[in-house]
Parts: sequence; structure tokens; C-alpha cells
Amino acid sequence: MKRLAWGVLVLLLVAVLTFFLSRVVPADPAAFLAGQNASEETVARIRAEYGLDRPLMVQFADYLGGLVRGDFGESIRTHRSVGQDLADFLPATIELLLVSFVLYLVLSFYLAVAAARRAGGWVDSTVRLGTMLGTGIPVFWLGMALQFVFFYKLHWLPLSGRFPIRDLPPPTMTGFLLIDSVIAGDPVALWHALRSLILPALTIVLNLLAVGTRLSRAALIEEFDKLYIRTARGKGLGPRAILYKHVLRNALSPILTVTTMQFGYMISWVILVEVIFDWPGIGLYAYQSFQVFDYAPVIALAIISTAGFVLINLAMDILYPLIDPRVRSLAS
Amino acid sequence: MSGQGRAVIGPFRRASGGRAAERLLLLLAWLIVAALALFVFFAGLLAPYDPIILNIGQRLHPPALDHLFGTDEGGRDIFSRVVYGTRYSLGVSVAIVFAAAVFGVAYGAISGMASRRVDDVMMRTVDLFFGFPALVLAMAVAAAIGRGLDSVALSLAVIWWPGYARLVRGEVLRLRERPHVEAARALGVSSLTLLRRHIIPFVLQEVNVRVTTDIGYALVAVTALSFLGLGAESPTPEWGLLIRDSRPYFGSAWWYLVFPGIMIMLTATAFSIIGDDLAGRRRRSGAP
Amino acid sequence: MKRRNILAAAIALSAAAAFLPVQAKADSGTLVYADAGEPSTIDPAKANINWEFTVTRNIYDRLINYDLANPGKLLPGLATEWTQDGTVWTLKLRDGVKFHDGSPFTAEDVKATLERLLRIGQGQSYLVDDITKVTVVDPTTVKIETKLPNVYLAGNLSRIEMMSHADIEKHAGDADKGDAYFGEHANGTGPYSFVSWTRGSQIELKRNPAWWGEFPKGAFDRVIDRFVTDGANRSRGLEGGEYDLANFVPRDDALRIGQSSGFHMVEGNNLWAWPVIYLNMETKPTSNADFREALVKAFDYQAMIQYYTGRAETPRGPIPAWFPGSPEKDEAAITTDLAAAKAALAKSGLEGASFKCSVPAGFPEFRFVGTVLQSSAAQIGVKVEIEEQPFVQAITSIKTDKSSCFILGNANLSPVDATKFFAAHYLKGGFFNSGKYYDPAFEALVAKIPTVSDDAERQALIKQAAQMIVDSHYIIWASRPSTVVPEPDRIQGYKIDPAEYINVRFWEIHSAQ
Repeated sequence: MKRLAWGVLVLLLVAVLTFFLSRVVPADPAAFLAGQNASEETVARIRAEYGLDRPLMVQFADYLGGLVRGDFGESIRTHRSVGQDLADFLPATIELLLVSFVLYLVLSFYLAVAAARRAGGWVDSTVRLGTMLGTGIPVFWLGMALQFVFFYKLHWLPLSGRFPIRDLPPPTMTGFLLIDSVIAGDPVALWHALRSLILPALTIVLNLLAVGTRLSRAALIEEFDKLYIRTARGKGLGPRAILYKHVLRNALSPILTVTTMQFGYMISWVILVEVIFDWPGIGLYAYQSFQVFDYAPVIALAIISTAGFVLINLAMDILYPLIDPRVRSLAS
Repeated sequence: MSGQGRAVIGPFRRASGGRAAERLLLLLAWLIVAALALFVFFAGLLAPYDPIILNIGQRLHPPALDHLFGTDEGGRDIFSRVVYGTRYSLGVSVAIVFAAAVFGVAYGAISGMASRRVDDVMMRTVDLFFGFPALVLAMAVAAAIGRGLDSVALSLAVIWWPGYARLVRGEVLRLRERPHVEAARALGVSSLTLLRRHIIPFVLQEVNVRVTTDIGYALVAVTALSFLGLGAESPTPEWGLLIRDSRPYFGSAWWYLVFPGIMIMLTATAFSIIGDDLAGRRRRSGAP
Repeated sequence: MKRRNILAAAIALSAAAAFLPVQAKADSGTLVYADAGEPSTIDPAKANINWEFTVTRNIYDRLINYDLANPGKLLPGLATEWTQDGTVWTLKLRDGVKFHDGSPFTAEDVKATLERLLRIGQGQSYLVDDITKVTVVDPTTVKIETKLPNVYLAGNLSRIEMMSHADIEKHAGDADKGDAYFGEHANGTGPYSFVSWTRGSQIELKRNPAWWGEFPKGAFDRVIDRFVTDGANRSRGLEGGEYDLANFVPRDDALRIGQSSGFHMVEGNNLWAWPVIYLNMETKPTSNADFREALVKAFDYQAMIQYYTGRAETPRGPIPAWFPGSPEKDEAAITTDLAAAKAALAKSGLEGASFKCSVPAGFPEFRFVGTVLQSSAAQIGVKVEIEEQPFVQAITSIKTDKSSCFILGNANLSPVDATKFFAAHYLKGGFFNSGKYYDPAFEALVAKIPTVSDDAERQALIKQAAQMIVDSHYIIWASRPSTVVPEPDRIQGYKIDPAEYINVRFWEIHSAQ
């Protein structure tokens, strides 16, 4: 459980860092709130109302105290508690990330296997070139390009947002549109939600694929090599059996490492994707708050994404020994 | 945002045309890098127009012979802006990766050679940095010291160095056990000399591979931050900023978005190909 | 082999199905409006930005309205008659008006609304902050007193939304006196009522059939105000049919879409999109009057007209020609004069100076002005550095002297009161007076103007005030473009309101008949 302790320390550090960095700035959310033509007194009054005029350490101590109680403070922009905002926006982000990640795992595995099985063949070369080009395509550019092609030119998919504007979304139960559609027994809503997910998810997936497939393929090729040599010494197992029984198990552990890193990237990119697709998740929420110096949401995002990353690492720590008994602890 | 694990080029069973195709790709990659280097150092000679001066009469013209990439909303030649932008986009990326590598190598080497306990503490510290969400850190740094390529460089270097530290530490640990190193130690050679003569040269080969590939990744990250408004400021013709500026004209001027994007892609891909090749050579040469 | 094939086929089929184009359900009763941001509050006492007005202007009514074609001509709203007697304005209110919750609208509501607005002191309160007392004479008559006689009060009241006194009193006991409540809830007398607010996505409104005003044939029963912060997405969505109308469509796209098939263009005068450059009066080098004059004379006004494809003119002062009582036509034209600019620069002794300009991000027009300033200044050897930042940071930057110039629209929300141009931008403490212009003579002049009842005399004073600003070279009047809004052919009724930030009057919009 030393890992867990370090995880908490990371979270703390993140909170400290982001808090102080954001308070150093001279510009003033109170001015934004007060609006045009507000007198200096009004601005000062609002500043006092939000406690922005207190000494830095006092503000920080307050914030930390709140954090311990699970209170992320109040958003100056939306006038609601950040916790409440997060409850509204987090499901959208998680839904997008989960769907993207599952899609990525499936496709990446398929591609990596196809490439590795005949390493050097034309499938492999195509995949390799594709992934190399893919790592170079910036996520935001890809998103815009996809919008251009699939909405603007072809009119096949919606431009942005989680659900078509003129249609009725399912009643909110979990905040996950896919699940809520299923609960409501509404196949049309489910389809609408899926269609809106496609482009943002595709943007994330294509990017993850580029990086992940390269590394997975490399790991698989290594395993294939070893296996080829062994079985060449005369076992006579069919290729499929080899694949599923031996290669997978051995390659799984480096693939899992890659997966963990991919999760880290994904969290970073979610802001970009949400901005382009007007996806009402915490990435967009934090970014818009950042624009008007409302930093509580930005700090909250920092903490949550770090927490997510720490959790994934912990999960991997637990999974590794189960999957590969030879590995006793996550090698650094 | 830094990658992990080695990229290995497949060993045998190569289709007959494969080797040639690979060589061709590699050649193309080196040509691209050479062109980029020329752009960086000789922008003034190679760019047909000034990147800053406005020419409203020519605004938003599609690509043509006199404006290879078309013009932007101020009538400026986009090709010239891309050429001048190379030193910012690519320059910053290279700087970030080198800074991260230098610091990471030093850190990792020390950690690798140190006692178990010190190593443990040092690596746990690295773990702290690993968890930090890159974009959010960039936002916070931008908030504190203002936007700009320097703030972006700082944030990304901070994000990047842990990867090198881990890589180098791993390599150092591995090489420590090698027979020639053991022998040298038995003869009483100091740790520092051990590092310098017997370990670091091999580690650097590995780092080299990583640095090359990382330049591509760093470029994508820098442009992403400029796109969000955290990085370069106008009128700097940084590629990410060009894409950001192209957004309002997206429907009227597709070239404004497409060409800078292609430049980013080509550059990053070229560095990836070269990095892959370096890794392949290293593997084939049977490095320790 | 077989299993994998079936799996692949299944994936391919569902992928294909997902891509099948879907006919947009022709829901003629719903209007989808893409606005440029999400409100921070829908409290009319605090609303102060376009996308907040989108909601408040349509849910609430105002006492007085005005003719869009001729803003000097005031029209009845919730008030049917109004007279001024010195410092007292008497208004007669419309009979039989009800709030969305069914309660009747009376003079009590006027009093409670104005008192609350002045107590809070934010939003548009500056337009009527000289009100000292509101008295209820009877349920349909109210008296409003101002500190000094103010000939503009009626016109300025055309911006103030009326809330229900019952609501205000009900929440008077809250810790914040109901401020949080009104930030999220709305009960007005207006043509559309509040249905829901899905944070991060949209606000939904529905038509109020009991409204006292008249709806056109084909008016929309349901309005969805969608928050689309990205201009490119608004353009794309408007063009692709996802949105019926969009606010702040980037100009090049607006022109192109407006002229493409299936769309027509609505053109008019409007305030928000006029870019002007504010020069910092307190930092070097812009604190030097001759230096400022050099910049004003060096600026390439033609470039701006070209940028707006001819649909613009170079202003001559702060008050546009079409504003009631504007002295513009009597003012000297402003043109680029490099020789005079260089002379002024030489006189200032600041040749080769450089300074920083902070520009609010997200408005390509403002950014472009910065670029023109840069290249114009370069012509006389002055270096300008542009820093694009979010609005609050940009304006704070110049106010805290980190930059020497700022670019913004020179707006005025009052349809009749020229002094409100001055109030926000040139008086000490004005929020948009980012360059900190201050002249006590000017302040005294501006204070006097509303008290003068003789039209001719007032006009002369306005002209004098405008001239003072122009002569100070505090502002570079970059351009005054016309506003262009593309409207799909299936939608009619959008009109550009000259005395408003670009905004939408849902009660006038209807489907094409």
C-alpha cells in the first residue's frame, strides 16, 4: 500500500502546484463578474464576497480544508459549487473516454496481431506507416478534419454535442446517455447518442491507435519470434493455438504498460477534443473557466485527472501479478 | 506524454519489396528533415514573401503558383509563414526534448548508480511527475508566467524528463550487471568513471533513439498548446497558432487549415521514421 | 476463421448503419439558436454580455421600446405613456399584463425591480444609476425621480427588464437576498418563458401565448438557445442546417454563407463589432499626445475597409452617424496621412519606440485590427507587439499598465443617450475606459448634457464632447463596419438592432410563410 500513499502525495502536490500557480496571476475574476461599468467599489465588494482579497496562505488553507471534506470550492463563472458542476460534466467525459478506450483496445489488438503475424508483410508495412503518420497528426487537427469531412461535406454525422439538438434525450438517470437510453428502453435515443459519440471518439481512438499499435506490435513481434524458434524445434501446434495460448499471455504485460501510458495521454487530450466538439465534459468546463480566471475548476480537473491516472496505475499493479505470474511487482 | 518501451523493427521474413520501400521512406524522412533544417536557418532565403507584412488585397486566396499554400486573412503567404514558423515550432520542440533529455539522463544515471534506497526515493519522485496531467500543468504555468512559447517549453520539459529518467535508470541498472562493468569495478574503477566510460556511451545510444522520436511528439504537443491559446502569440507564424487562426476561415479557406497540419504531420512522421531506423540499427548491431 | 468473419461483418454492418444519413426531423415549431457562450447568470440585474441578454431580453419585458429603424423614436412597452417634469418622470403602465406564473404586473414590480437593480449596481444599472427614488402612485402609474433632470431616462429604461416584486420579496430573506435564485430562475412577462437550463449545452424557452404583444404568423413555440463557443462550429452548424440562426458568425463565413443558395443576408448597423483601439494614457510611449497622434495618422484605414469588403466606413468620432443627434457628419474625415504621422512622431521625440497591445481572443475582427496597427506602425518605424488573451486578461493588462493598447468594440446600449458612449469608455472609472482617459472638463460636460432640455443646445454640447475625445487621440477609430447576419431562407424576421450588442429578438422570428 506504499503505492497508495504515494498516490495521495501526488494528488496533494498537484493541488498545491495548481493552486499557487493560478493565484499568482494578477488578472481578476471579480472584474469579469462585476461586468461593464461596475464601479471600483463594486468590483472590490465582489472580490471580498469571494474571499479573493484574503492573504494567499489563508485562501490555500481554506481550499485544502475544503478538499478534505470533498468540497472543491465554488466556480466564479457558473455561481455553483464546483462539485455540483463536476457531477453535471464528469459523466460526459467519462462516457467519451470509456467508449474511446474500449474501441481502442479492440482495434489496437486486432491491428497489432494482424501486423505482427506476418511481420514484414504488406499488412505490417501498411500498419507501420499508418501508425507513424498517425503519431504526427495533431489531435485537434484530426478532429477538425473529421468534422469537415463527415459533417460539412457528407452530412453523415452531427457536428458537435452529445445529442442532436431537436430530439429528446432520455431522462437523466446516470448521466451516461448510452446507459440512460437503455434504461429508458429507447433505441432511437441510443442510436442518436452513439452517432454523436462517433466523431469525438474516433478522434481520440485514431490518435491512441497510432502510438499504441506501434508498441503493441513491437511487443507481439518479440513474442512471435521467440515462439517461432521454439516451435520450429518440432512441436506442430497450429498457428492460432500458438497465438492465443502463448503469445498473448506473454505479450499482455508490455501491452498493459502501453495501455496505462495511453490512458495518461487520453486524459491530456480530452480538453482538446471537448473544445472542438463542444462536448460538455469537465475538459471544456475547466478550459472555459480558465479563460475567465476562474481557477477552482482547473484545479479540480488537475486533481481528478491525476487521481484517475493514479487509480489506473494501482489497478495495473494489481492486475500484473494476476496476468503474468512471473512478474512480482510493476517494474519501474 | 512521453512514450515508453522500445520500438522494434520486425526481424526476418521480410517481403521482397519491403527493404527497398523502407530505404525509400528513410530517404524521404531525411530529405524532410534536411528541408526543415534549411527552413530554420535560411528562412529569409527560402520564403518567397515576408511573413508579417499585410497585403489585404490578396486575402484568403487559394493555393496557386505564386502562393503555394494560399494566403491567410491578412493576405500573407501561408507557405512563407510555414517556413518562418519552422524555427519556432520545431525549434521549441527540439529545445524541450534536449532539456528534458539532459536533465533526465543525469537524474537517471545518478539514480541507477546509487544505493537501493536512494534509487527508490528518486524513482518515487519521478512517479509524482508522471501522474501530472500535461495540459492542465501547461494552463497553470501559462496563468502564472503568462502565455508564450517559453511557458509552453517549461511546462513540456517538466512533463517530459521523467520518461528519460526512467529509461536511463533502467539502462544503467541493466548495464551495471554486465561482465565488463563488473570487471572494471573489481579493478577498483570509480563509479563516476564507470558511468562515463562504460555505461553512458551505450545509454546515450538508446537515448538518441528516444530523442529523435520524441521531437515529433513534442512538436505535436507544442502545436496543441498554441492551438489552445497558451503558446505562441501572433504574429509569430508558429504552426499550431496558424491552425488556431485558421478556424474562423475554415469554411472559406480550407488550405489555411490543411497545409500547416500536413507540415506538422510530415515533420513528426519523419522524425519517427528516423528514430525507428536508429533503433533498428542499434538492435541489429547487437548493442549490449 | 468463421467466428472472426462473423464478428468482422457485424462490426462493419453496425458501422455502416451508424453512418446512414439522418433526415433532420422537420420540427417547424422549434428554433435552434447558436449563441457564442453560456450565460453566467440569467438575472436581468446582472446580465451584461450578449449571450446573457439573449435569454433575459426574451423572457422579460421592458417599460419602453424603440423603433429599430429609428432608435430616437421610442415606443410603448410595459409603459404606454411617459412624461418628464424636471427631475420626475411619470409613467403610465399597460393594463392586463401577467407574469409567466400568472401574477399581474403592476407599478410595485417596477419599484422593486429598479430598487434591486440599483442596490446590486451591476449589469446595466449604470444606464439608470441617477435614479434616486421610485414611487408607486397607483397600480398603473409610477413616478421615477433622478438626481438631476435627465432627458434620456425614458430611452435608457428601454434596456431595463422588469421582474416580479413578489419573487423579489419572497427571496428577500435569503442570505444573498435571492441573487443565487435569480441567477438560475426566470419569471418575466415576456414573449418567451424559461423551461430549462442544461448546463454546458443549452437553455430551452417556450412561447408565452398570453403575451401582451403580437407574434408573427409562424412564430416558434420552442426555442433552444445552444451554447457554441467556437465560431467555426457556429458557422459550420448554421451552414449545415444544425442551427437555424447563429450569433457572431465570423465575418468571412457570414458573407459567404449569406450569399450562398438557401440563405439570404440581413445587413444593418450595430455596435458591438466596431473595433477601436484604446491607447494607454498613462504609460510610455502612448502617454505622449504627439505619439498618439502619429499612430492615429499612420493607421491604415483603407485596409480595414478592404477587410470588410467595402461594407464599412471610417468613423469620425465616438458617435455613429445614424445615432440620434450624432455630430458625425460635421466632423472632419479621418484618413491615413503618413507624412503628418511622421511629423507628429518627430515632434514627440519617440522615434523607434515600441509597445505592447493586448487583444481579446476569439474575435477575428479585433485581431485583424491589431495586425493592421502593427503593420501601420511599422511604416513609421514603431514596433507593436500583439498579445492575444481572453477578454478579462486583456483588459486587465492595459488597466494595470502591462500593455499600452487594447482593442474592443465601442458599444452603447442606450438607443438615445449619447452620453452613455462616454460613460463606459471615457469617464473615470468607466469599465471600458481601459486606457484611463481623464479630463475633468470632459466629465463636467458629460454630466451637464442630459440636464439640458433645449435640443439645439444639447446637440452643440454633444458635438463639443465628441470633439474633445477625437482631439485627444486617445482612440484610433479603426472602422465602423456594417453588421452582416446570414439567415436561412426558411427563417424570417431577424432584424439587426442598432442599439444592442448583436442579439436576437425571438418574438419577431418566424418560419417563412
